[in-house]
Amino acid sequence: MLKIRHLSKIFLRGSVNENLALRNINLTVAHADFVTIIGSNGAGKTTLLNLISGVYPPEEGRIEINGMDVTNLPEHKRANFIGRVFQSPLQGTASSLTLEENLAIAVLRGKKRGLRLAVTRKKREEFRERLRALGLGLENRLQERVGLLSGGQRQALTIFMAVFTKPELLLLDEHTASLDPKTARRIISLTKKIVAESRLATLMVTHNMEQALELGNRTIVMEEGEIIFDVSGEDKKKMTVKDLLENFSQIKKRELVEDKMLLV
Amino acid sequence: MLAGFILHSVEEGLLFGILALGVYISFRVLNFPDLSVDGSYPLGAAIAGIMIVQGINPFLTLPVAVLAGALAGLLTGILHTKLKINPLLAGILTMICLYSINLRIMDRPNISLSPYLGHKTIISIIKGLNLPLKSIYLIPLVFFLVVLVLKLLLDLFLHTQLGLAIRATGDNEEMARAEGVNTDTAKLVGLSLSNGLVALAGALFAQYQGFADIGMGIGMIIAGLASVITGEALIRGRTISLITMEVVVGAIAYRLAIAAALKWGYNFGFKPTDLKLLTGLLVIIILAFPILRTKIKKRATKLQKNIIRG
Ligand SMILES: Nc1ncnc2c1ncn2[C@@H]1O[C@H](COP(=O)(O)OP(=O)(O)O)[C@@H](O)[C@H]1O
Ligand SMILES: [Mg+2]
Repeated sequence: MLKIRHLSKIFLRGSVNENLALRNINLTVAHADFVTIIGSNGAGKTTLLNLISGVYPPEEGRIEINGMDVTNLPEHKRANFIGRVFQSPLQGTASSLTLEENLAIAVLRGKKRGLRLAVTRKKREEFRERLRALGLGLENRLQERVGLLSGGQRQALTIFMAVFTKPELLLLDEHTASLDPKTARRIISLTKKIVAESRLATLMVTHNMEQALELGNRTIVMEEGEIIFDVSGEDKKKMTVKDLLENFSQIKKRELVEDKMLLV
Repeated sequence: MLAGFILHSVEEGLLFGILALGVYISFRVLNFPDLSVDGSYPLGAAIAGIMIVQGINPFLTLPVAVLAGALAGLLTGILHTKLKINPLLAGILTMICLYSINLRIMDRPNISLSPYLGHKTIISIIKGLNLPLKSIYLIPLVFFLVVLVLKLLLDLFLHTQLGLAIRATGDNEEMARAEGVNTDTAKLVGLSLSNGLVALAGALFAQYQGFADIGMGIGMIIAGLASVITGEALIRGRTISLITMEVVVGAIAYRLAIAAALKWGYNFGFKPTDLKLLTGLLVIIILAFPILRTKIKKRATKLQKNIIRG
């Protein structure tokens, strides 16, 4: 489904602040995989998702979705296959537009946008129906500006919009990090439900190890632009946060040793 | 006398309303501070001027002006989206290029459009129509209808799929791209539309005032912005149709305010040449108003506390 080969990203190349944000990433994600990604700040998690969605081009490497090379496909065209939810609820929706207008933008992903009315009566009914199934009461607020919604509601709306047109891949970047714990839990259960229903491949960045192990069928750990750990299936089910931390420190130790050897 | 003064300002205000709708699209809908307006407004005037002098039907000048204005907007858009030039600079570059282009179009810095020279303008044709309505009312009525139709068309457009894509681009570019909007195209279309309207305003204004002048674009961007923010201060609408209405109302209010300041301002030492200065001051005052208001409020509460304590 998603195939990443030898992907590297360098920020501010040639300057004193040159930053090798991703180093030779290789990753293959299967169709109904739900991958959680953890790693410390600056590990390159967001950069990886941004490269997959085409926010900027990689310095090296190749990205395939369903066998198609999308490495040079512009971001708005990749939106055809990719739904995205960002860290801040402000990022994924347009505040000055109404709820139904935001949805009308989302339903035309991959389609030509012409001079037809964006929100027709028929579409409004469809929105209402599908929002009702979400069970958040948003179906009664279709004509309100999104800026009036709470952060949790906006994030729920963003998830809803991200999967509305049934993309192949869902990218979630710490999408509950800026919510209060209670709302975050609600958004997580909504995420679980939506991912299970739509059976799309999902990459979810989180800073919560417990959550990373609890959700999905695979977990990867990133550090300094590399994938340093990758666990899935039964191994993942058995794994506890303690195991993860132990693994993590062992890898760190090994790296330290290697670094020392280099110095010698 | 006063009625004539008001009518005159309203007529000008309605034409400025068209300009203001254009400025609204770039500044507010697209969130793109487009300065090409100072070039595309006289571009419309230059085209109207030269076509009319050559005896072409004055109504034909309008679509040509719109098209030329749209091309100017497209240029700014391409400078920004394809060549990654910053919006302000892209607009200024177009504006400066248009200065020479406008001079080429007119072939001189000023073209007079006078019925005494046998030139037919839209205004002279309407006045010659022999309708039962007196022409002093006819002209504002026609202008009003033109602005109304443009406003309604713009409202409609901003609710289409393409219009919504443009609004989303201006509101949240990151979201727009993530939702599959080609934000470059959205900007190009928006800027073309904006400058098309601005050039239309220029073409009409040249015929209304009876001349096209190379300098008539100076400060038009601020005039347009003044109209937009005056309207916003007066009405504070939330829906598109309310907002476009407030833009037009703002343009009329702005023209009235400026005309009044010029008419009675000589008591305070104002001269007709102070027009741009007045416009600048008006914009500064409106922009500064929210900050001044909170400052004044703070002062007031402080004073109150002191009084209570004291
Ligand atoms: N647009 C950018 N320009 C320059 N450096 C960047 C940019 N985006 C990210 N970086 C750098 O790349 C590294 C990885 O960042 P990021 O992917 O955001 O980390 P994470 O999401 O794992 O916390 C960091 O060192 C960050 O400072
Ligand atoms: Mg991040």
